[in-house]
Amino acid sequence: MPHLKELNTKYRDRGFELVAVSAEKSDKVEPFVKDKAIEYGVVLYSNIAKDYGLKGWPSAWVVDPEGKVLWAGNFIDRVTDAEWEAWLEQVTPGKVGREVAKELKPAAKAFDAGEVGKAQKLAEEAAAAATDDLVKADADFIQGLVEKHRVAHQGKIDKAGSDAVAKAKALDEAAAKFKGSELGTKWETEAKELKKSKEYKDCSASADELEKVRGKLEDMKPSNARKALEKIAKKYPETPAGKEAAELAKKYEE
Amino acid sequence: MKALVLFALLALGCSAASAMEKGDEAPNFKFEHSWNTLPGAKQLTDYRGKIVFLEIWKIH
Repeated sequence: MPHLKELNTKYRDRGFELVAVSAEKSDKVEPFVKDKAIEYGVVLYSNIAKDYGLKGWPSAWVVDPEGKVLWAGNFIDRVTDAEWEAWLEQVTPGKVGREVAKELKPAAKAFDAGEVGKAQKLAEEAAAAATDDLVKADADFIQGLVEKHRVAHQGKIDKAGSDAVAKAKALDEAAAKFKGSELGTKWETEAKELKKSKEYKDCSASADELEKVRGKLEDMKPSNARKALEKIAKKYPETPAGKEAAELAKKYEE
Repeated sequence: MKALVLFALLALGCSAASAMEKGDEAPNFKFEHSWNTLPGAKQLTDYRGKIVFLEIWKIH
């Protein structure tokens, strides 16, 4: 499902989540999820066709933050970037979208340019200096928009869980967006520390080794494939790739 | 005749849920199994606050 991978990469730090639903058995779905190294959500629900009145069409939906259907169809490729932008605006606004007091203009400009951290810092400074309630209200408004981005990034960092490589990547993305604010510096430091850790090095090395082996598995004798996978599993028993290698190795047992 | 048509429509309406369309509430469901979902998410409503793209898969 290359189109899903592309969507996930494009919008994953914008409070967007992809959930593929299958009514099949987990022993059929699991190898697929693992072999294709799928990063987005995959769930099983046996009654999905009945509950969603599935008759072939539509078989895909976009659901808004309150749980209402925004779009129903089959070919997500037909949804334009502008439509996605309008939907994502609800969760992670890209623009301030209204007039603000002159004290908040620099913050609004930074926000519109995607410099969320800079916008946060400028809005905080303007709020601290403000004596006028209208200026304070505009500062609150911009800080509210910034908060939505913070929540989306924090969600991505949390979702990475014990996968140190995914977590470092999420921290880097978050730090870049929040550059210029305290939070951006905090995330940047966390990413640096994490990358120095043994946990990260093992996670990264095991993922690389598994990728190399994965590409050759089909041409290998089953016994050799098993040995190569077991070697990775033994070397890195605690990393996600190490655990995955152990699972994959089972498929090549005689 | 009108009554007959109405009856037929009602019968159809009861035979299966109609397909989910724009503006409908997406029916909640509990995940029987999950991979790569949000931490702690056990059902669709745990995704409130996000824009969710749901797609039905048939692998085999």
